[in-house]
Amino acid sequence: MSDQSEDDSTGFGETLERISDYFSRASDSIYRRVSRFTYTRVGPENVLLVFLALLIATLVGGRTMAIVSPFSGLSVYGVLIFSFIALVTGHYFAGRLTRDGRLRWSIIHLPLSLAIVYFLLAIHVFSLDGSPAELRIPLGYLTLVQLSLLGGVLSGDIKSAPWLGRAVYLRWIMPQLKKEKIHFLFWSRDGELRLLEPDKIEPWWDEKSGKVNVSLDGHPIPFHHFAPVMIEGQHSIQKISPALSKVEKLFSNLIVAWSGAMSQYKTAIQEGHSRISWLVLLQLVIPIHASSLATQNSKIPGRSQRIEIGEQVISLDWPIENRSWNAARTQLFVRAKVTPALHTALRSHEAPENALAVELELLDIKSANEDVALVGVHLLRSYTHLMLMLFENLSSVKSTRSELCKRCIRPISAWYVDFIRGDFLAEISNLANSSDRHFSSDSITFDEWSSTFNEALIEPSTKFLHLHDQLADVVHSESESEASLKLNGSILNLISTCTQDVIAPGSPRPGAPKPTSSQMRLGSSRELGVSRKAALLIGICKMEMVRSLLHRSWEDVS
Amino acid sequence: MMRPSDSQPSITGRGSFAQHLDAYLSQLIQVSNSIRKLNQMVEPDDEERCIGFKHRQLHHQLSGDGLAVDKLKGEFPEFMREALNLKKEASGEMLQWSDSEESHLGVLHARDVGCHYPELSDDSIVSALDLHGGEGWCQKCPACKEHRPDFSVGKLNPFSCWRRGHQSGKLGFVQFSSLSNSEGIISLQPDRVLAPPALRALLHHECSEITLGPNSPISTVGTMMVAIFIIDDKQSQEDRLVEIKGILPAQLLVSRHIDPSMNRDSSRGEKYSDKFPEMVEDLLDAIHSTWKRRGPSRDSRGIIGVALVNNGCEYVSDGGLQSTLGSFGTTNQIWVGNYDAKKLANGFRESMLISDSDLRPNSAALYVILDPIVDLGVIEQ
Repeated sequence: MSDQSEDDSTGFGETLERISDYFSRASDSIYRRVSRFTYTRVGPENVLLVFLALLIATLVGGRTMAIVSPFSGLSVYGVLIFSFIALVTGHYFAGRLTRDGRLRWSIIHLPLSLAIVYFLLAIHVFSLDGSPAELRIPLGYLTLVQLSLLGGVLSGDIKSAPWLGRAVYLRWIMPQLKKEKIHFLFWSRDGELRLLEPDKIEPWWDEKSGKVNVSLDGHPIPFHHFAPVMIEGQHSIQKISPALSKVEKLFSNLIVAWSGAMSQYKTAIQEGHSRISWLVLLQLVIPIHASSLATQNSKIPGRSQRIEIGEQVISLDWPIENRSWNAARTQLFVRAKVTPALHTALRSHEAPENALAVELELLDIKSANEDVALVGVHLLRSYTHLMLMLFENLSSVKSTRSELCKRCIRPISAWYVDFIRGDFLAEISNLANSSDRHFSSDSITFDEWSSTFNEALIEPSTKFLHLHDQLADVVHSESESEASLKLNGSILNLISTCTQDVIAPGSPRPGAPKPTSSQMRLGSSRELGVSRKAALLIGICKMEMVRSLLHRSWEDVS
Repeated sequence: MMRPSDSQPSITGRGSFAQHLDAYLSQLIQVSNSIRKLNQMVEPDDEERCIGFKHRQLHHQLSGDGLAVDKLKGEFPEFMREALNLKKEASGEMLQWSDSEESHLGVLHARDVGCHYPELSDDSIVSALDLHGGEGWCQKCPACKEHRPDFSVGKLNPFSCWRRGHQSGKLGFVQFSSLSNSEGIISLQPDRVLAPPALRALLHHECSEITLGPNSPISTVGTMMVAIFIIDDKQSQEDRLVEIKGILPAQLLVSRHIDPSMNRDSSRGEKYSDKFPEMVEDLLDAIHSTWKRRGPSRDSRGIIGVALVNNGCEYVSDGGLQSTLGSFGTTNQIWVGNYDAKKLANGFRESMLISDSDLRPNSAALYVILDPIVDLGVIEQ
């Protein structure tokens, strides 16, 4: 007997221990879950459903079907105070309450539990008839607080979530775009262009990526890869111009309550417009006819650009972005400074060390040699960054710096075209035939050009001589192969031409009268100084580009 | 680097000698232009001071200080010219102030640029600028007896100054050509140009028609400017051919190796043979005037020496060519030398930049020594 009682007491102890262990683990788990922040995506539709469920269940179970309502006997002041506090809390903390996983119980679990209680009351599973007031009244207050809280959440920030923007866009913006005949210009990451009807663009908010996307050919594309455009003219001579101002006007006509929901859409459209401004500069103007940048003494491109969309050639008239490249890079594109400018503006996923197809297309190199193409890509990047830097320094305000930059643009762009078409690239690529070279890291970045230019402006002749000597050393240290002979000749010719271009402005033309002393005082001397400085800077830029190409090849050889 | 001969310029026996000469001279001008260009970039002397001088000078040129020779001579401020020409004492002091760090030719002493003109003494007040121009010592220097090539010791460039010495070996060249009297037609054919690496590269870039020889192991190639004409006397071989052709018909024999159409009038060949010295004289006159006008410096004196090295060439031995060279030397007051290749010391041919394959038996080499003068100031082109 005694043994049996001992066994029973042991079994009970174990059961207690197990129960206490279970509760301990459960409380730990609850504590961890409560204390850990988790991101939740409770949308307004969920909150609305819970609110309606609770409201209906309360009305049915707590008022209509109940003999003794939990709301009877509540203090008017208490109801007003608790409801007001809950409403204000819900309104101002709507975002936190719907996104913080730890608070989810307050807007989902607890109201649903209350709704179930009222539902059970409605079907008379149990009744509050005999229950004490201490149980009924807190339930009544809790229900009112819960309803007020949910009402506050629904009236708060959550009502203007970006996902709501899609509905507003489709219902209000898209019809207006159609009416205004506004299309979308799509500039892909690969540098290809497409014109799309407005009804093909149905943007939606992607909560996961935090971006407005558009589905195109079954793929999600960020909405900022599109820009609204106006198409003018007949089919044969169509002209595209930006329609940002018109679209912004459409957005400003929306009611204030939707402005928050539409803010991401509006920002995406503005970013798309800015992106295309940079792409026009980096993909259309600089590599093809950069000389047009210097036609005016301000940042206005000289002419519209011709682009090919499908089989159609269209004239594109796009304004230049006002902000600086570095500002755009950090704010708009959010890329590192070593990333090539075209990579950055295209938002390409391609690694910087890889050549883009569009870069190879821009070079238009007839040679099938891959090395030549890669050296060309390296040069194209350095050249693009240089032109970008020179263009940024142009100013409508008259200054020596602006004047010098303007004078540099045209000769360097002409030299670049000759360089690409000539044999220099092939000669450099022949020097080193390793196929695993990475060129992007060696292309001269925008910041490097800025610092080179700043140095050169202070001591142009010293900088020029430094490069002169570096390139001359390359010639003297080179081997005797056929490839080296050709390359050395080209390098020497470059050095000589650059030097002669500097010396030439000071030389009197044959038969020209000698300048009088008054002329010297009245500005011709200054003009000569600026011309010489410009010639020095042009020479520095050319030699620096060639030096950077040789630097890489030299490492490979050594 | 050797290119196939079929891509060489067409200076063969097909055209007239005058046409060949024009093409040859245009090549010479190309070489001169390349030297001018290179002279802006490299130093003519490997002396540390010369390297520093060129560097500083280029820096001044780039800064717009105007150190071009033309300007210094022609547009030099009047007061400076007065100081140099009239106030000798003052200018002398100025030259004494200057140290070897100067880059201005006007205040750089002639001694500092390695001048070895016989009249230069410790008391001479002559700037490096004075050496330049029509009245400068550099014009008279090649005529001095002290500055003559000496083939017996392999000295083809007798100068050691910065303008003519070319101690850096970066600006000189040797151009090989052949002069042959074939079938009575004298043909001039450029063969190859030997040059130091930088000049080779520039020549290759500037004028791809020029045939460039391989990098010569002889370091002296870059220290002189010489045109060598190999005189190949095919006439004597052809005379033997004529003799055979004369015997065959008498014995009623025919050779399929001898083209009857090749029969030529021996008097015609004789006529052209007589003209060979005359054509050489035309050639030398043309080179002389061309190098004087279009040489690397405006102070160029053209040809400063001619030497004939005979290796048993009967045609040269008859004295006609020697007398032509002698008269050319007398007219132009230049040095003329005659050498017998067999009597020259062993190893001489190497220093003469000529191999046994070039100077075959029964041939001769005509050395035309061009004035190697370059400008220390930058010549604006």
